[in-house]
Amino acid sequence: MKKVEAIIKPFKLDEVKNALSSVAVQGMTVTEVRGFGRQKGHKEVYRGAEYIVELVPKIKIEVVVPDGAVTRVVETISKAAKTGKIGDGKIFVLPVEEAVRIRTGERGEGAL
Amino acid sequence: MALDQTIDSLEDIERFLRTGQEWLKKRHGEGASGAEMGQSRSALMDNVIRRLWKRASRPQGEKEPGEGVALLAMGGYGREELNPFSDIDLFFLHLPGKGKELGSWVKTILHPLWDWGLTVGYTVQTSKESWKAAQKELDLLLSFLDARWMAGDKGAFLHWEEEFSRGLKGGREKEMILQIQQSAESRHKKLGDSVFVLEPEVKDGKGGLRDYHAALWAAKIKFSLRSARQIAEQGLLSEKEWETYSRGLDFLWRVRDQLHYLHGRREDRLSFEDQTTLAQVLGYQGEDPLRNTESFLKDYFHQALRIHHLSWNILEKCLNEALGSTRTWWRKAAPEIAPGFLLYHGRLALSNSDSFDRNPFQIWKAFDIIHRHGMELSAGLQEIIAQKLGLMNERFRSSPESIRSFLSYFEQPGHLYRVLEEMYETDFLRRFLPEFERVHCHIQYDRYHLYPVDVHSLYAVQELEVLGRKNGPQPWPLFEQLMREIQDPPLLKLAALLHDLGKAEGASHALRGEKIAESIGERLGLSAERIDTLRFLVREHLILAEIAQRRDLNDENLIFRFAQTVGNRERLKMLYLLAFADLRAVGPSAWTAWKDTLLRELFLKTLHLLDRGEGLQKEDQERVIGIQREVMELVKGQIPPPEISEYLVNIPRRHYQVHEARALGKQILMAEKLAEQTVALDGEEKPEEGGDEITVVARDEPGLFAKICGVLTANLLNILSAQISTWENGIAVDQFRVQSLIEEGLLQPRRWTKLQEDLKKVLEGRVEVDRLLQEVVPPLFYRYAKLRSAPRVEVDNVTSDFYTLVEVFTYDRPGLLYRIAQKLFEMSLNLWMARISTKVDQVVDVFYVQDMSGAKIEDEQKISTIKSELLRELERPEN
Repeated sequence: MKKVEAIIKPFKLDEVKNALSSVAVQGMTVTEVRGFGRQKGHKEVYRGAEYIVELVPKIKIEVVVPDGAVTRVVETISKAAKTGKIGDGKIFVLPVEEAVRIRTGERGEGAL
Repeated sequence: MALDQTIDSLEDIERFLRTGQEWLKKRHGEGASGAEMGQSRSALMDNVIRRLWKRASRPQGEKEPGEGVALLAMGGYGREELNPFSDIDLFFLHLPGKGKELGSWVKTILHPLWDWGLTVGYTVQTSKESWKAAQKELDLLLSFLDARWMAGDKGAFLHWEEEFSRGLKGGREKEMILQIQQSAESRHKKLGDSVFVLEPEVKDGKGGLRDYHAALWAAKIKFSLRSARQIAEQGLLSEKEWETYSRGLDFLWRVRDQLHYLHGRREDRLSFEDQTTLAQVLGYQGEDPLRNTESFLKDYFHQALRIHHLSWNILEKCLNEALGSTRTWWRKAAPEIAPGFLLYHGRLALSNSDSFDRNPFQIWKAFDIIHRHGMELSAGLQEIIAQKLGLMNERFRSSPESIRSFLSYFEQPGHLYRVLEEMYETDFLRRFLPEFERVHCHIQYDRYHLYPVDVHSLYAVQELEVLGRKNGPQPWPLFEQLMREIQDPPLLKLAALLHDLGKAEGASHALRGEKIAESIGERLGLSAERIDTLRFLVREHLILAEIAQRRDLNDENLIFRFAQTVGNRERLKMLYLLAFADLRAVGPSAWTAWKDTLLRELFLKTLHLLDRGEGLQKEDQERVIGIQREVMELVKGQIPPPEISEYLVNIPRRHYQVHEARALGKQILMAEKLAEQTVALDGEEKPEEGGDEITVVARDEPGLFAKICGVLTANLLNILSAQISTWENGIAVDQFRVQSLIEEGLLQPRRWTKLQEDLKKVLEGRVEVDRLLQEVVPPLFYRYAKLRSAPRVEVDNVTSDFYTLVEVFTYDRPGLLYRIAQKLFEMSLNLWMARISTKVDQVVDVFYVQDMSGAKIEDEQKISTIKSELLRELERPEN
């Protein structure tokens, strides 16, 4: 099992969600996050007052999937989240040791 | 259920207990009142424990176990307010010296109770010990307050009681009551400090049973009351208030009972899941389960509000009143603050309780005073207003005096929120603005909204009011500044009050709310212009948050369209402030730095566009719609309408500013041809305008513009001006005003064919532009090679939030544009728009560029390179 973690542009959330459900990924965790990569923050000015935005708002999506589904899921997210412009985000794949469904106690891929 | 003289066996007693518990559950299921159930349960426990006491007190030879011991019920049990799984607190009061031997004897009474699953707490103390302990711990003292004799030595109990009462009168009453109040307040804070929470705590939450306990304890300490019933007798609440209070308590007890039964143990939190179950079981049985739950919660909050309110009244009275019972609160001599009104312990009261009967409009005077001074209404005046609501008929509501007063609270500086809060608590608001009736205590049944719609709206007004104050609790410099800048703050506050009134029906409340706001605006006699703004604000109050979170803020066209929707800076600022107030008033977690950042980005980008002012008036938006309709008419014979719409949507708004419907229609038809050919070309001779017009439509690609310019130059055309734009479906539409460098007319077949061929060849990659240029007769270029003033290149990152503007100032010569465009391409700059113009022989070219990753060029190094490279190119002698 692997956890696929994607940092994407906020307005891409619906598109990525829909794309994932169309490849049968039912569950996911979504968090509002802020950060920066090569797309640095920027400076906004109003009437001489500066507002430095160092941390750019993004959305983090986390899904845990069986090993065999990883490539498909990464591609799906990639395609849906891409605009070609700077700030599109990144995807990380991490190993998962165990998964448990709390209600039933199921373990392993069956718990996903 | 009389006590008989026989000693029961443990089995008998247990059977008795179980039978009783079942009977109680049945009674509850039949709908018995919460108060009745609480008392019956206590009576059952009394019976059971007394039987156990009798068993334990059987004389054993010489000894009389339990002699001199009194058994007291404490806490909720003492008050006879037991819920199915409440704790049972017992106090074994004994004479000094007997403590040791009682230890195990007491257990003979307790063990069975524990075995039978009851949660029993106990303490074994002498009178002195108990008083000592009570002084150290307020909670213990308070549970002693509720003590009730149950069994054993009555004399010992009475003696203890007398000492205890005397101890209470030791002069620390005020201190104790303050502590009770403070502990209640900190209890509230821990649970969200509001009656309206997603999962109310029936006991500990604001408006929960603990509030009643606090009030009762305060009253017991202050006035030596023996039971809750005496609250009304003591005059702490009027008869009517006491009825309301009892009803509220009854409701809460029933809910708590049901929760305990549902979970089979003590449970005081009305969780999300439980809310649905309880609604069903407690009799809310319409067709829609969601509606049932909402109704139940509506009632719950209604009662909880009352409980909290009345409990606090009692607490305040206990704090402020002198010792001694007097039922004549109202007649106390106090200074008149205004004709007919006086201050009663810091709260506003009437000098004459029938003032409103004689003149209902006096009510406005009360609110005027509150608006001016910010005090609260006394409980008495609240009660009177609530009683006199019947006087507020249609005539009252629509009279100019009423309207003028109501509006003045918004228009004049003062305590607007306080006034609205008092209007809300007396139900006056619902009478004056009946639209509030439908949303009263109406909660949106989801996990995000914390407050019912009406309370939420009040809080939104409060957020705005706080912004206007000099020393707000939290610094919001930008919002505070905007609040100072807008021209009609009263209207904004009114919009905040009304913005969610459309919510009673369910979905799409913004549009419905708009109609409601319009009707209220008319009733209040607002000007047409103000009503228009009010409608706009209510209709669009969600749009900022939606766009900021769900659309690409780097898309200039999106911001442009939004700016057109808003129309002017004043409205944008008001909308932004309203979005802020709305989110802040939803609940503690709705406003985050994350949202703040996105909203501010949208606000500032839109503001910048509006500052530049072009193409963003309402008329411009209408003009666009008009053009779109016209284009549809012109072209629909040749392209299916849905495809036309597709094009129209993809054309950037800026493009609409510079082209008429006829030109757009032509461009669309040309774009259609791109399915079969690489490029579409159109030309028009315009001798009266000093040149010809050429339109080139092709698929956008890096370097496209440079290539086109090169081809035009190689075809002996001087480019005087150009409008280039890129449509959102990747189509480049470039329009040129050109001047021929030779006699032959542009549209002559030979020339036109060559131009078309050259374009095709270059764009298909079959020929390089440079090759074409080499074939052109060289002397042509020297004709204009006169050096004039030095060329200038400016890089502007301020004017646009989306593009870097590269401005080139130089004198005109053929091939110039090609060379500039080619240079930009070589520097990996993506060209989106350009305005090329020539005045006599001076050229001002503005290029809107981004780097290959879609960002502006802000790196100092790169900017300097752009300038120097372009200058080098411009200063190069022609070859």
